[in-house]
Amino acid sequence: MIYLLLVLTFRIASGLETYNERLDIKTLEKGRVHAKFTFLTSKDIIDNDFILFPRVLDQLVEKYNVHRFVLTMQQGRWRREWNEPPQPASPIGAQLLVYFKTKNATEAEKNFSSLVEAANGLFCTSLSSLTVTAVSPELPVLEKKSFELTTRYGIVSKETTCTENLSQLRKLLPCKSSGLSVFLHPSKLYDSLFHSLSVSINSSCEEIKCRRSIEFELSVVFKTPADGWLLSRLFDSQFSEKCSVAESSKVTVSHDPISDKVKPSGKELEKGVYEYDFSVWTKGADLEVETPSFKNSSIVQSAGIRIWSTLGGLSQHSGELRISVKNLGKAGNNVVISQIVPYFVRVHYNSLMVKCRSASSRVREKVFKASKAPKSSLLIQYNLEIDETDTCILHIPLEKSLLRINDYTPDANHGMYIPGAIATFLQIKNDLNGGYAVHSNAVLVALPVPDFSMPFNVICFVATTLAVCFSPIHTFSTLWISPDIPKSVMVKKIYRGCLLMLLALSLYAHFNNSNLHDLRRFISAYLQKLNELK
Amino acid sequence: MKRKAAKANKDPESEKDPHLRESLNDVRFAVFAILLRFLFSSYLYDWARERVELVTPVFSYEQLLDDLEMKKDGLPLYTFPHFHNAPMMMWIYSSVSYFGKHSVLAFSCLLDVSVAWLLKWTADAVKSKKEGEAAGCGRWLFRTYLFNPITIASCAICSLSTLYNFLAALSAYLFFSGCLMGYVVVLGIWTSWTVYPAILFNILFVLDLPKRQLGIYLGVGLAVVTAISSVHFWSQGSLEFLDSSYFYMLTFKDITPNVGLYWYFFVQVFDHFREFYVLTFMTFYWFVPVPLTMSIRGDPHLLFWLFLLLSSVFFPSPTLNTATVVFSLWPIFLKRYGEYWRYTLLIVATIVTCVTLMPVMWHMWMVSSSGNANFYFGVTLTYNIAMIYMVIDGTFVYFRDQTNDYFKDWKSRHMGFAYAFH
Repeated sequence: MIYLLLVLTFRIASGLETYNERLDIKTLEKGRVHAKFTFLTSKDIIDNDFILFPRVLDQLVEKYNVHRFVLTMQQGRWRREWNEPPQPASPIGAQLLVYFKTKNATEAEKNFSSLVEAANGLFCTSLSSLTVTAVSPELPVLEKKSFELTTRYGIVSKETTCTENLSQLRKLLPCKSSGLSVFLHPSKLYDSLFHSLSVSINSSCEEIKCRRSIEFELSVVFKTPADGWLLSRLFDSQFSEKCSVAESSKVTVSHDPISDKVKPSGKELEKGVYEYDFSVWTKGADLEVETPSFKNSSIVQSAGIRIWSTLGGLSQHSGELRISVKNLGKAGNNVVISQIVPYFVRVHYNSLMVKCRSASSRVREKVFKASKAPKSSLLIQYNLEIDETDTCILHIPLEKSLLRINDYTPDANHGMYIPGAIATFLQIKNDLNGGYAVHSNAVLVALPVPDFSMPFNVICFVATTLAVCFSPIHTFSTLWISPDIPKSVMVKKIYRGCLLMLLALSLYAHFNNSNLHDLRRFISAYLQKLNELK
Repeated sequence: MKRKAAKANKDPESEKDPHLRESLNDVRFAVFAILLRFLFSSYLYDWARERVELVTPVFSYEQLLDDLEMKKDGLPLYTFPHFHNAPMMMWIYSSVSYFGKHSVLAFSCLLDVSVAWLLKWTADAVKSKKEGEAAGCGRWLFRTYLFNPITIASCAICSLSTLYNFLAALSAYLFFSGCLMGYVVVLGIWTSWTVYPAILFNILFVLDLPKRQLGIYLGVGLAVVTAISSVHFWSQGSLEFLDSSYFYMLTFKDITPNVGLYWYFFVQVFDHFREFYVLTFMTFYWFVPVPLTMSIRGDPHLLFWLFLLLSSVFFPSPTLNTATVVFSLWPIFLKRYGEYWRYTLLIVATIVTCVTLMPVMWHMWMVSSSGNANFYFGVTLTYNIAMIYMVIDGTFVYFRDQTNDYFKDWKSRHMGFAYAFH
């Protein structure tokens, strides 16, 4: 035991394995508080002992030759007033971005399928559809791309994130019930306006020293009383003890230095930001922030871009997807717009269009990429240069296709989702810590649906039609046709007479507005009369 | 005024020569028809190009434009799942569209007008062979084709089915006028585009040709198909075009709504039966011509017409326009077999009703959502049944006609319509 402890202390001290945890809390607007957890574990690649670093993830990365792995899951919408969304940006649903250390596309594709299934097992997700719908972007998506690597990227718009994903992630942390992870209390975290969870696994090298790191990030926006919040009330749990293996364990609180009151006050990092060291935090101590006169107008708008998707068109047959991009001028002019188009819509390449208000906005590069595999998606990427405060609209005319009956989702009349577009900044003007991307909303497409209730009927009808075609041909070509002398004319005449009578009777009934019930009633009345007579 | 004067000048001349007068009349009709097509194109283009009855992946001009644009941008065409064009079509239309958008429309109009003329000549070729038969038919063939609303709409949206019709009419003309070498060459070109007309080669077997000649004709047909395919192969450098154009048609991959028989079937059919039905339908299509060829040996013209009809009914992604040549040639046989046609009125009425109902049902299914897919499917199925009744009736009239030859002495008796198969 003591030996283990000694080894641990040595390893942490020498930096072979490190673990850092951090929680940033910020008031976004009145009654909206954003909490962001960051758990960062890293280790030397050559080192083969796993004490803090989850071995299973290391094996995953090694086996499938992964350079970088980003998985995000999100629920709820990040509002435009809250400025830039937490990075890596996430769409509603799940998103997976993987860089493979290979240039061979088929190998990457094979590895990706296995990796998706492995990730499903590890994080309790259901991303299997990504094995066919993921694309290989050529222009950067989400972040700047290193071009020697093969990328696979995919979005599952309908995937929901839930407690099971969180508990799986919690299991991979070195401290599960101490340190900041005590705040990972599902009942509060999922009762929120916005919830985003991301896992990124990275390999980075500095000279000869290569490190691998995992970063778990959890962003939550809570609805709080307008006049302030308590740390324990926010997460519905109390801080118990420090995480002894953590290198650092910090909590920062951003506030308005003039009007807000923070108790107790911590180390002031910059104006309006207090930092607390939770490795020396006393058990049961609480943090209280009072925001009696928080003004929404005091938020400085810093978002660089707005992007939103709409679908036009009246019928279930054709329509137009419009992606509008507005450059707010805070993060440069050069934007890559990527749109994944699923297999159930067909894009008219000839009428793809980018329209900008300003004349100097232009298209730098265009990527249109598909794969022959069944149900694979199409990727449209535009490298745009948009003037500040200019709006560009990307028109994607499409045709919704009729699918085979098995390809529809259980609730077919609900429609299917086209994932939202992604706007990625290439050159960042302000310092926004590397990559900066924004997702647009997913678009629901009402597809034409067949009648699900009658496959047998259709099979019967079509097969009968073919038989109707073939049987006379067979008859004509195998039998002789010859004049026929009718034998009995009498029977035929009687038969026809009967038919005529029936016809006359039914016509009579029709014009007298009589129906079967009347007839039956009449007969029963008549019978009754007969009985009475007896 | 000038035109009137010219007309007045020419009138006495044309009175002398009825032939010249008729052809002048034809030219007038053709000019009017072209004008009609241009007008349609400028006012109703957007409406017509959305019609699934007129546009299918194989015959879609918009799709072809997309493909040409992608080719121009250097994209790998065969990776796109919606690419189904034969490389031949790409060459033809890229060279035509080189002169701008209107040149394609002009090209389509030219094709359409020449189809009308070819049909007329076809009827005339029949006339000259059998004296007195089908007299005056050609003029009507010419007009019905030119002023058929389906051909006008298809031509106005530059549908590739116009080219399909041109090949059909050209092969009909070459066959009816007895130019068999030309016939097999055209058939070879046509087959290497849409595969299904290959059954038309069967007619060579009923012509009582010497064996050597038959071999030569079949060899030439096969050579044309092979030549075009190998040119495709050399230009593309791979056999991927086989998969995206030929196998696409042969294995009924097309499930976009159209007027054919198969699309809804393959939407609905259970996955594990799909292969079975593909094989069944393929066998059906390629087998049906065999009994027909063996039994209808006395009238190769009728057999040609029946095969043309079969290849347009059982094509997996047909448009209404692929059947218009068949409809236009029908009067020849209506005249030849006169009273024996049983369902003429029924067929015509059904087809007209179905064609009018198709856009209505489509609207109900797709736009207003007041109906479902069965509505549209029902109409297309009925349309196909009407076409199949044409096949049945066409076969029947031949045998009925033969009965008259066999039982000449019975003719004196009153037999009415009673007959039986023995």
